[in-house]
Amino acid sequence: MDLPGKTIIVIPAYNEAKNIVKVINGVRKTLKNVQILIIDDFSNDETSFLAKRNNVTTLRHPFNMGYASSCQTGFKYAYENGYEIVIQMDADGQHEPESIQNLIEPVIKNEADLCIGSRFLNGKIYKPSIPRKIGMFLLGRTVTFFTKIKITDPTSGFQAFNRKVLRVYCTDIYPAKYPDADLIIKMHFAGFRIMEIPVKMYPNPNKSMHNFFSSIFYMIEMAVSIFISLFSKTYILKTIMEDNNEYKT
Amino acid sequence: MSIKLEIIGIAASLILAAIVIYLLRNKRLKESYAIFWGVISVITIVIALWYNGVKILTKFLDIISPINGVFFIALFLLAILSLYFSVQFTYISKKIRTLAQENTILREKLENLEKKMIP
Repeated sequence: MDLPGKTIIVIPAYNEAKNIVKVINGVRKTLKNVQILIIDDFSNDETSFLAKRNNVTTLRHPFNMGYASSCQTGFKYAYENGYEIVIQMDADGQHEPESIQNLIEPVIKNEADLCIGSRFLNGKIYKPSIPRKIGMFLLGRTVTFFTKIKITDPTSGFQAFNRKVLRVYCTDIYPAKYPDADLIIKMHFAGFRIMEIPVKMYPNPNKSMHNFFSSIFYMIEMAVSIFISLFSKTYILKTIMEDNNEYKT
Repeated sequence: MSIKLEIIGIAASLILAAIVIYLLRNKRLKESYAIFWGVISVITIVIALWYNGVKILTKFLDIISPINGVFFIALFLLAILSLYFSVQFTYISKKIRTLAQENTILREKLENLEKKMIP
């Protein structure tokens, strides 16, 4: 598959030396001449080295900054370098590169500004643990309630979006910790067209980034963030207007 | 208030003022924070020298024991200070995040330029 000219795949990675080469090769096998960008979040292993050895543009944080900051570093790089379409995917091999074609299609055809890959819409491969399933279900229902768009996988890190969304992702609107359900609500408030499509996702071969206590803390933090988002519509629109003249029309 | 307590109160506030001046002189405390701690020192001296003032204030606020009034004011001030520091912390975290991201991108650009310049 050939991607349109200015398209980049942003892959945040932390201690993914085991999977990174497999992910890079998987993407290259599916997509010809694609620009891949790895953001190494100060890994302790050879993630950066392996990515560079495979001729992939690699950015390495000066210290560990977390998943959201890694993604945002990649988005800032993409924006500065004039990329029109961004695909975000994980470095742990969970996301099937073959799904990129479906994911990117609505963005190329200008049917959506932000396209989220859902593991549940054709949910045969991915089976999360029960607490995770409950959490995802609650968050999905909350997002659907506020946006009136059916969202089944609000925590999906497999997304494709255009430059307008990319610009907003480079601002303060993008969360510092978890870019999940709250971000979808914010983007809806900002007037972007959001779509969810089925993708293939495999269970995480490593441990989840959340343990029991951090999962509880995550849900509380997300609930607060969603609550605040509901009252942030004016701030979101103001930030977009201030940050980018093309939104002023 | 007994003479002993007055002396302890004055000594404590003077020690606090001395620490604040020392930290300021060594540039380990910002002037804006020093103002807050300076005010705290003055309040402590006032309370130590003029305890009746606390009694009048607590009576005005319908607080039975004057010492409870002192604790209430102290806790309130500390809560305000904590909130202020939380705001500062958030602001600084945001700045550090932006700086680190820009540093990361610039370093990549620099490496690319070096590669081009050094064959």
